[in-house]
Amino acid sequence: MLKGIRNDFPVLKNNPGLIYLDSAASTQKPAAVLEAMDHFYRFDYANIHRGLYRLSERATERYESARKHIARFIHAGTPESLVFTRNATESLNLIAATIGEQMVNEGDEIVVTIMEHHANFVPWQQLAAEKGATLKVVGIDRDTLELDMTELESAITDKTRLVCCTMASNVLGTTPNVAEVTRLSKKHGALTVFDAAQFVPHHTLDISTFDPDFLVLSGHKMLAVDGFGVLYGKSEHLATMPPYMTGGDMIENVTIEKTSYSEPPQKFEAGTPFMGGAISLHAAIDYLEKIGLDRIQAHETKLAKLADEKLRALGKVRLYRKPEHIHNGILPFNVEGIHPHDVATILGDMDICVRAGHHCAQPLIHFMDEMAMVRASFYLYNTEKDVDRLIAGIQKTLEVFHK
Amino acid sequence: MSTQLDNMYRDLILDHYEHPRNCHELDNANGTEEGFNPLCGDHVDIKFEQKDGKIIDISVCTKGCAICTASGSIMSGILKGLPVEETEKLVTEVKAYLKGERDVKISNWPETLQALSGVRKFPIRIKCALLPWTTAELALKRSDG
Repeated sequence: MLKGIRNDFPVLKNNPGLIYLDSAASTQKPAAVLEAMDHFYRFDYANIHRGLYRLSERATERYESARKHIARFIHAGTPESLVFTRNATESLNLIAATIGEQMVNEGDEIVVTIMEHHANFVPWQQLAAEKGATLKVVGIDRDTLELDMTELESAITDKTRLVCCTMASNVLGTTPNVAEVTRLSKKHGALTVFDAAQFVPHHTLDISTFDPDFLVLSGHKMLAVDGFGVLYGKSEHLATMPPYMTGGDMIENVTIEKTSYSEPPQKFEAGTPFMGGAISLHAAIDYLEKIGLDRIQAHETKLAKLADEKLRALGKVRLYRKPEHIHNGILPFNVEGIHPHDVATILGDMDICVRAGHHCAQPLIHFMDEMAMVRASFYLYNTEKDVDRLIAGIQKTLEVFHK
Repeated sequence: MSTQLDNMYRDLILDHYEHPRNCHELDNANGTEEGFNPLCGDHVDIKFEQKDGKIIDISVCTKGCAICTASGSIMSGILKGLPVEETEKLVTEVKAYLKGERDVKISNWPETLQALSGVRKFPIRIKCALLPWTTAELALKRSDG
């Protein structure tokens, strides 16, 4: 078990009684990340890519070094295959609006899974509607909650242009076999788009092992600050995709008649970017690597399994994941006869922070025949004491409702 | 647990949650409306029959949290038999009170309605309590009675 981690996180230190079980929504930030940003703005800040002075060179160097660092962390090959965005949602919208717009035509198909966060569902649904294409939604096994690979295999056809799939469901924690998803997609010439926002903070990611066409992530879910995301795209795609936004920082030459664009990734980074965000993700990766992702995954999985066991023992809690399928810190549940929002309100009153609702995944919640769910999500700074407090909170909830 | 929470989940509210009143078929409905709370999936289905300027029957069926369900159930009991004009006035008043927009004297409200006051300390839950009332308001506006 990891120990003493809580002290590295100012929000947790400054709120001693707080039980933070909502890291799947957004993680807290370690002091190391905040200090790295602070240092950047105190010592190295200027606009990048254009200043002919040392300070701007240094800022550019820091920003581009973050790109190299993130590329190394996810084994992306060249740093130029990473485009910086505001978050995973913007990354996905960028793909839909550029290459999606280019390659999807009437009668084509886009395949998604029922587990997708709205960010990896709505852009494809809208693109399909706009183009007269078909959106195919692949289900999950109701027992194991794993992606139905047989259904996926029959859903992907020669008409399929894009296969868009989560790497870790933000509601169920399910981690599909992405190598298999990629293999099935390639067989039919379809491009793959993976939403790794919920995967990267908790599992080791090595892009080179499954060779996706696109992959997205959000900094704020992996200890970096909010407002900074990443889009990985294969160089061959980024080279031919049109820009998403136009303006400064992304041009090669502008005349009154026409404009030529920079090479990727700059082509997709119009305007002054969020430099502090890049610096924060660089520092967050350092922190994650110092602790070790394998240890983090083992730690949060252990806590989720412990909570699962104790919640089951209460007898009035519906748990959706089978214990043997838990391999990260995401734990969805419902308390019999009590609406998730009432559960979360009572827990919230006890300073226990969980999420309740549809978790931006309404198609999945409906598939599971629920209106809403409670989700506790454990991360590296949580402890066994947090699990006990959660259980005490659920017992209190049952008491309030005379259950 | 805080007294604020106690105050919101008082027994009267929990009773209306466990046993919501007035959810039934209404064959002669001349006002209907559905309301959704996209945040938590609360859903309210309101039907009423008005005749000679009066709500003579009402059905409120809710799928949602304790606060939304209780609010709808309490509302159904109060609106049944009320003149339409007074109904409109009360709906406006309850909305203003729950949102904290202005001072509303609630001491002359029925006790069941006063029980909703606890929700005002939980800003994110006010929407839950409001949903039946805003839905009723729309139903009234669209009704052909």
